[in-house]
Amino acid sequence: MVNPPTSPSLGDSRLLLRCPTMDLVPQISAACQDRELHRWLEALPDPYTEADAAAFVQRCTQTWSEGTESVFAITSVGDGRLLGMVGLHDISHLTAPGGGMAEVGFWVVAAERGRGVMPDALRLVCGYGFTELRLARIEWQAEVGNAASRRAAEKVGFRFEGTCRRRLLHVGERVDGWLGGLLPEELR
Amino acid sequence: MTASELGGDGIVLRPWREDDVPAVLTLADDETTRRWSPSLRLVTSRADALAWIQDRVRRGNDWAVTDPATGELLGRVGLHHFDEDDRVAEIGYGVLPAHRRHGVARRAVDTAAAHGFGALGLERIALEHATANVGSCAVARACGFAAEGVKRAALSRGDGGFDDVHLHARLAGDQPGPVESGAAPIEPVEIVAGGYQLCIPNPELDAAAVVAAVDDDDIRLFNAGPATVEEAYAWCRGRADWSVGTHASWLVKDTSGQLLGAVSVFHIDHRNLCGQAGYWVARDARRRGVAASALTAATRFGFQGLGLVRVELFHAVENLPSCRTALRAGFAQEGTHRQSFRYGDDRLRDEHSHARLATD
Repeated sequence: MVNPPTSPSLGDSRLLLRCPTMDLVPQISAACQDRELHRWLEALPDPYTEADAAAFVQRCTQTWSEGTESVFAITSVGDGRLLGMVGLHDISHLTAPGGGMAEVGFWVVAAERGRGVMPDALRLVCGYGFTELRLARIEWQAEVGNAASRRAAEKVGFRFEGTCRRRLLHVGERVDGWLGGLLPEELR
Repeated sequence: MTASELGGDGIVLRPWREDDVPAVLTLADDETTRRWSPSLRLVTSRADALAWIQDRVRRGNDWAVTDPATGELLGRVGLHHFDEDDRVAEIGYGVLPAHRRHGVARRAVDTAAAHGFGALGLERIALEHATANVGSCAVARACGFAAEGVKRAALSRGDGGFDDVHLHARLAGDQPGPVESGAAPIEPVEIVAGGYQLCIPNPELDAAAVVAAVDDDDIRLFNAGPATVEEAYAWCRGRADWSVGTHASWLVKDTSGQLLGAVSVFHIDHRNLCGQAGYWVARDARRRGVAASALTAATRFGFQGLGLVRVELFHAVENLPSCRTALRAGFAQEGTHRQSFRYGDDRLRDEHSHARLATD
């Protein structure tokens, strides 16, 4: 059995990734006012309030302790401001011989886009998934057309694997989803 | 959630009962079932079988497939990962060894899918199977589940290794089947020929050796292969997956497992019953007749295993060893094609065309 440490911190010279905490609620709530996030993330409550952000933080703490999700707030090493969110979801089969599976999900604060935050954060989180959780495969899904998400995923080594027809919901509409996968030897 | 009883074409899907334990044990004791089904792989005792049944009953939408005349249990089918909000699910199934090859899986999937799209209001049902499980691929196509992609290393083999997975899906409103498709999948077969073995490529085992072998000037020019281990993983995966039905590809090894080369019958055309052969041999293994033996064995599989009547072969005119190999393996030269293929140095070259017929 793999026992993930409760909310570890990951990081490099620029980014600090840690379990979201209540002090980030105002920044999470502010970031989730962005229409571009609502364009691609069906699960985001709309309108998004501070109570939604607080519930999100609580759920992250809970799923960390249950071992079903590892969600990290991406913050700046310099001033601690929130840059985005990245997580491993649907973590399963951790005890299977050869390792388990998970799906990655992420978003970047509007003002922080275009600076390579997500590839770097994704690299750290996938590395954590492969080394600490001993995952054998990490999956990525995005609505067809979400090119920014696909670019970030492909930059760290995800391979495009198929298009799942009407797999995802978007504002009540069923839409096609892109599917990709990353195996341990492909992370870069 | 309880499963309801569903009538099908010569079958009845009914909820699991605790007295199904012996049949579940029979199913779980079967090698084919254990190979493809992670949940039944863990069932080895009566207690395991009972727990498996109770789990299915608790989850609902999982049925014992039975014979309406005798009540005998024929197999299983279920709608898993059922998501009421998303209105998507994944279908899984299995048939007891004694009842295979009678269309039980196809009829069970049809019945459960109709229930999923009808009473349960699903929008999408996915169907996933290991790429090598060609029987399951045929069921998917017959039942109208279109192929959507290949999830790499997504199904545990139970020994630490993983199989690639074909992803199929059927949407509400799709035709119930069959999916229009070209070739039927080909079941991968390993062949022993003389002192050599024709093996199905295995990325974990073979990627590094393939890169080392194709790092050679002649192979780069005449039959370029993967340059990095990462590319070689993809190369091995593609060649191990015969389910597209248009190629049969092997690595050639000696009896100790040392990689000697590769051989493939590709561009398989089931309408015109012809295919094309290709091969390369690692530098250290040349001048021993490896290519001719491997080519002969692969071609024989094309004729006897796939029913082809003609296998063709093209090589650059300058590639004299390849010409000798073709003639030794019974491929008569038929002509010379001018400027017909761009080789590894980016130049178009003339090629000899050879062919061997099943009747030669």
